[in-house]
Amino acid sequence: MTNLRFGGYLLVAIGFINMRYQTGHHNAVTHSLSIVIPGALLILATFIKPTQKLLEKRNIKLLVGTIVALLVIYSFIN
Amino acid sequence: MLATTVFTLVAQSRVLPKYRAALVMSSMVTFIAGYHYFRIFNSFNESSMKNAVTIGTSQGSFNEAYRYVDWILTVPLLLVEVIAVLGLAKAAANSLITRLVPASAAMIILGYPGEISSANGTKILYGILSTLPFLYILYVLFVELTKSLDRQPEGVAATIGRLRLLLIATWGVYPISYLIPILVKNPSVAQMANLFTDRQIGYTIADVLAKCVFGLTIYKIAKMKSVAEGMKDDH
Repeated sequence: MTNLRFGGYLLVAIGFINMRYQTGHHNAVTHSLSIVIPGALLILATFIKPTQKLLEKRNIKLLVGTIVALLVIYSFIN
Repeated sequence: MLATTVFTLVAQSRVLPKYRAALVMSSMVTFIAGYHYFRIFNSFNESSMKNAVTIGTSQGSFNEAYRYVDWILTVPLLLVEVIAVLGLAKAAANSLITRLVPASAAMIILGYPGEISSANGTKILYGILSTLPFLYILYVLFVELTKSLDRQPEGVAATIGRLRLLLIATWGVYPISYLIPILVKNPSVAQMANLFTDRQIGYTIADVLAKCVFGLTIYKIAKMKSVAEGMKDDH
């Protein structure tokens, strides 16, 4: 759970950095929020009991990990 | 930065599970900082034209105050790393975290107005204001934290002592870089360019020391504690 929380924090952090450096660029806010919002939702999910149980499942963990990795890649190329 | 991220992630199996959170935090800090430098290079590229760099806050300008976005996200984590690797009782750890994290955030927030100001008076005022939470952090690390070092394994207390000195030495580079612009009175255009470059070099060196070297020291402490608690030292 702690690692998923860190993953969420990572997305929020790089999303904000992404937004700051692209200020003025076309669709900068949309690009960056597509990284920040999933990160914020992931952090939130790690604090709510029903979603905590869901996140403890191996398949869900794998899926969330893959999404985090893809969003990190997206933050470099957008 | 990214190499340290990979190392601290891969090295997790070399420490006991209870110390892995500290290594994950360290890898996050270096990754966020590495990503930030990637974007700094982008920004530097965009703002450079004909051997000159446009500095400011508008689009296409290099805004070094953006470093503060990185710092406010990573510096509190650096301090949480120290607490996490010590494996203190929950109440003691929470007490230290609730004091260190707000103080580190205040230190950075108070430095920002001085960084973006071109007036020397404002720079000095906010420089002094951001030094106050820094002094409080030092007090917590050197006075409060020392109380918990008696229960640490042999060698760990000495390494933590060195970690605190590393923190003072590396964090000391930031105010020097911050004050570089006011060291020269009425600088020429060429001098201003040099001062700008010097400040960037200073901040970059401080970032590498404060994040990579600090993270590797955290790894060393986690490893020492793991071995002291019975983990086989086969790496």
